Amino acid sequence: MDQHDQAADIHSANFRRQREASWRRLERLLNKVKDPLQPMSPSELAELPQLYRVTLSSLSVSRKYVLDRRLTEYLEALAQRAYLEIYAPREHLRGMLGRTIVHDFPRAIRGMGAELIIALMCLVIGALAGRAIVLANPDLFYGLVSESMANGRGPDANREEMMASIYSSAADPIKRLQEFAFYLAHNNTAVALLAFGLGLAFGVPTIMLLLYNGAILGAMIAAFEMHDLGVDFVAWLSIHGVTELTAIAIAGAGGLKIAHGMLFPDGRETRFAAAKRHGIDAGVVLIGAFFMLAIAAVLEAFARQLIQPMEQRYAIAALTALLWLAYFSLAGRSRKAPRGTGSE
Amino acid sequence: MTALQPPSAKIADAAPGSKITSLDRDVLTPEGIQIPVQIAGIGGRYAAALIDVSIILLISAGMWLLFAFISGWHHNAWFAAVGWVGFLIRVFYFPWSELHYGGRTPGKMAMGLRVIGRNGAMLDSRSIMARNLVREVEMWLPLTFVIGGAGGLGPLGYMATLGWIGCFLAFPLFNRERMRGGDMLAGTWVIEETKARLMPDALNEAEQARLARQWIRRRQGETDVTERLQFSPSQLTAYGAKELNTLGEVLLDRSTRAAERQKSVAQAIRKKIGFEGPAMDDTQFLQAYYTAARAQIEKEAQWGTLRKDKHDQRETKTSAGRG
Repeated sequence: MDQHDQAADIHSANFRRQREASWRRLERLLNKVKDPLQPMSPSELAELPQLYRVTLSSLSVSRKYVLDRRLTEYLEALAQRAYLEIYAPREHLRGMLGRTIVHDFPRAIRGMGAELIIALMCLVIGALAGRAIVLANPDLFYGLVSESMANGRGPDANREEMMASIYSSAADPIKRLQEFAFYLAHNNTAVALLAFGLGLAFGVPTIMLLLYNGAILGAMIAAFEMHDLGVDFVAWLSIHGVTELTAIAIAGAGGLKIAHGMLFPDGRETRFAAAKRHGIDAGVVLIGAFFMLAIAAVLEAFARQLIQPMEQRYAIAALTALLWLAYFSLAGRSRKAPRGTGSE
Repeated sequence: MTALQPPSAKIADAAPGSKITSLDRDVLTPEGIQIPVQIAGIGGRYAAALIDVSIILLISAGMWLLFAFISGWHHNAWFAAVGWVGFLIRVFYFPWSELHYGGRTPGKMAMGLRVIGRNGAMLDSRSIMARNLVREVEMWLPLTFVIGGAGGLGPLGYMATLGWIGCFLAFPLFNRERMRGGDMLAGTWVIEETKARLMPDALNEAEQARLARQWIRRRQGETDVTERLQFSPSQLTAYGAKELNTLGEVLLDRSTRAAERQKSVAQAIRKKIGFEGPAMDDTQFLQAYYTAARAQIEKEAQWGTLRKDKHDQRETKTSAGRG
């Protein structure tokens, strides 16, 4: 056969001639996707997946039968771009957050019952220990509680000051906003650190931090007890404390879950895959904990100063406890599908 | 990556120490094709992060000035607003833009980077939230802690916090996929997007040149010397895809060294295949050889795979054997 007839016959040349228009079109459409000034029409959007599949099949053919290496590289790059655009996430932030709070977060909590109990126990044990230590030896209070946190309160302060810290009210709304901002920043620091960083360190620091936080709490309670203000202090604390401590326990539980997953990966998974699975759940937990802390911060800055009588404070605390309990046990449970046709 | 799917060209061709770098990975699309991706290098990621942080600071500063102006520089309100707005911007900048722009932030767009799911899995919104919330722990909160005076823990607390930040900053250096703590927990990779550029085809060029010559010659009543060329199949398969691709590049070369390169390549080929045909222009010879060799090798590919290179010893298919 004449060499030149062979050349005219070359499949790759024909192949490229036939397909090149489609590839160029895909390129143009992909450029349009990125450009906010050129919105795409519905028919153009519908073309994308089709052109993508054509490109993929071209890529397959090119790899096997086409000698021109740079054509294959071009198709690989084009396929990559198209793949990333077509399979990009399509959700809105608000939709995603809404779904997480209403659905994913309560479910995730229900899935970490054991870790939650451990976390709560650490807080309680820490508190009891801290209280016992300070009652036995008041000087140790200053070892446990830092100056900035104590803020003038403690076994050596006088009773009037201690009472004032529980029962005064700052009328200035600006000041309350300030406090709010401060509390939020302060809270989130502690919590986020607990939930993640320490989970990656196999959980031991999480437990230590929970115990320590509990101890600080116990020390403060002891200090107020020594001035006969123990019950009042707990009331003052628990308006937001129920929410805040639960959030911290939840965050700690999230960290423990990651640690558990990394220490004992299921035989079928690598540690990486386990970390990823627990990491996403823990991410949900962290979002939820942030959300709880935002609520705690509002309660701390506003409700705490607005509501003075001790009995009312306990009532509010009990109410928050009930609401959270209801939320965690009931939210996000899917309704049973009606029996019968069985169509989704 | 399953063994059943043909890998991408880069990875398939890799010989030890060849141009595949340690950052190349293959990703399997839902349609069952392997697509190569390139993990982003550290420098690019730090640069993108720097750009994003600068943008956050700029936006925050802008809002602060606005609030301060509105509130008449009233100290308390300004302080409270600062805390709030800055916090919101910082927390939501990354997740919002990664969701909105399909895995990219302005900083990443500037550097040509993108977040994808590990092994090419679809990037879902929960991964995006998780990987960004971890950044709070890795960097932001310790940073505000340090700036705010390390909560009374003194120089030890200061150093410990800086150490914490440093460890997490260096984390990507210690794993092959260059994952941050957040990437590892969320199951994501950051890749460098490849630019797609369609190059001219050497075959096309050769064909155009031949047709042009043919037209000229016919008008002059002569035949083109290349039309009397015949290569035997074994001559055409002396080389494989690798060498022919290089030849294609030589043919498309327009630099000042082109003529020189073509001369040495033509010489080498003539010698290797023991060419005894008529004397001719180097370019014409190379074009004719390229066209014929490519046709031969691609035809053979239909009964097997593309002949890789000159060491790929296999039986040469002659015309007689074709169905």
